[in-house]
Amino acid sequence: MQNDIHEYGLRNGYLLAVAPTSSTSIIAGTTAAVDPIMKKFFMEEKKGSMITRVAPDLNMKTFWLYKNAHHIDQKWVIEAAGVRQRHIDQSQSVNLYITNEFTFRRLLDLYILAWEKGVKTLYYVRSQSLEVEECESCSA
Amino acid sequence: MELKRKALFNASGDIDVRKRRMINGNTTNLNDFNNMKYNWVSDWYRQAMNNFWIPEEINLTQDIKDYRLLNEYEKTAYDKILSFLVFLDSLQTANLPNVGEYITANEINLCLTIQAFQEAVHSQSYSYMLDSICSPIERDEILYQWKYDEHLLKRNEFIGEQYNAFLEHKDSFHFMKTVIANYILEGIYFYSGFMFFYNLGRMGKMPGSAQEIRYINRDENTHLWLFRNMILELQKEEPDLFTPDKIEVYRNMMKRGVEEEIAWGQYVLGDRIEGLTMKMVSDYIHYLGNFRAQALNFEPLFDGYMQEPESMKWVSIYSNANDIKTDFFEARSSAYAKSSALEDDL
Repeated sequence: MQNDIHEYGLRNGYLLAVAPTSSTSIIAGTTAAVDPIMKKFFMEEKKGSMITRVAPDLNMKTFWLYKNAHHIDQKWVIEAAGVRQRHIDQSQSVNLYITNEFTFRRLLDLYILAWEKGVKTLYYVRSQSLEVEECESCSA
Repeated sequence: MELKRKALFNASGDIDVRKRRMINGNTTNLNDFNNMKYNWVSDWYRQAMNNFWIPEEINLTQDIKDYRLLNEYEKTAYDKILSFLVFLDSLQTANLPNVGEYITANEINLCLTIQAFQEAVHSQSYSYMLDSICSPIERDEILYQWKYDEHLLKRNEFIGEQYNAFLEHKDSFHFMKTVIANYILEGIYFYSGFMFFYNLGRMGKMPGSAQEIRYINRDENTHLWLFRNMILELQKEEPDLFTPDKIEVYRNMMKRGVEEEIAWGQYVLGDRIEGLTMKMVSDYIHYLGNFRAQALNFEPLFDGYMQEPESMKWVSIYSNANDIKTDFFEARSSAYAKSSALEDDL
């Protein structure tokens, strides 16, 4: 087949994508594509509904294995996407999770790193709403 | 006790931050962003400005359909609570300048102006909700319920009377009572309204309304934070306003607020709304009262009720923007800060 492909080419240019995407992952009870979980417990908002989401198989043993996306050094997210990319002919749905401590330069560096590592595209940048320490005691 | 009105053009005002006072100070009214006495203001300002949002950006098409499908009790509660919230936010827009007139720290005046602006946006957001989901006749009927529904009117009277009393008696004690009334309004009254919309949301109804409320709630949290800090600063600067007997007056106001709120819940929600029982409402409001009192370093108002009731934990999850992951294609995310919140170091 390798020879045939070499001679005639392929009908479909893209054969491999990373599943499941967001909605499919909810139905399947797992996490979305290659993204880390946002939190161990959070609400997922889709059109017209909000659903509670818990990290899969969360228990006393797995509790510490899950890291919140915003706490992960995003350079590793990109490094991993780069390693993966050569095995996937479609681009991946890679989202960046940033905190408000980020600066423009740090964000730019992530994009440049993604290019250097051969990541085809980056998707959303999810930032956070500002929260000030005392707000903890305001919101009930 | 005497309360001096803030000077307007006042070239002989104090520039030294050490002389700056929340009330009865001598301000020049210059907004000096570099020399602040109350350091938390810069964080507050940054947060309030970054929370900017526009009501019309939230899609309400699902709500138009859902509104017709609400059962009789849900619809009545929706209308009355909305009417209540529109009125409160409008009253806030009108009253905050009255408070500001007697605040002699420019950085606090700045915050109050932003808060008043946000309250105006909130009252307009309710109009947008009503315009979207119902006919002009229904809309006007709902808007003025606060005037014609005797329970609703009575409900607003307590806070309204405190605000009016300050207009008639410009002394520092009445000023404090207005500030506490504001704190009750923001910290207790609003929340029971919010909770109803979140409950509809978690039942899969009126998602756009729940989203509007989440944005409003995000602002209200900062307003509450502002008033709490103002009160804590006043405790340091004006100990005479916080003698045990005066604190008792404030605590009793808060108690009354909690009781009124529960009575209102009984009237508007009762045990008729799917997902909410009166016990849940009552436990939650009692807890809120205690929580708000303690945030001001006052003794709790009620025995027990020190923990957020298990049955109501979902309220804070709905109200916390950063606990929600929103599909960008399908709804409008409130977990963001404007890009200007990030430092531009390029």
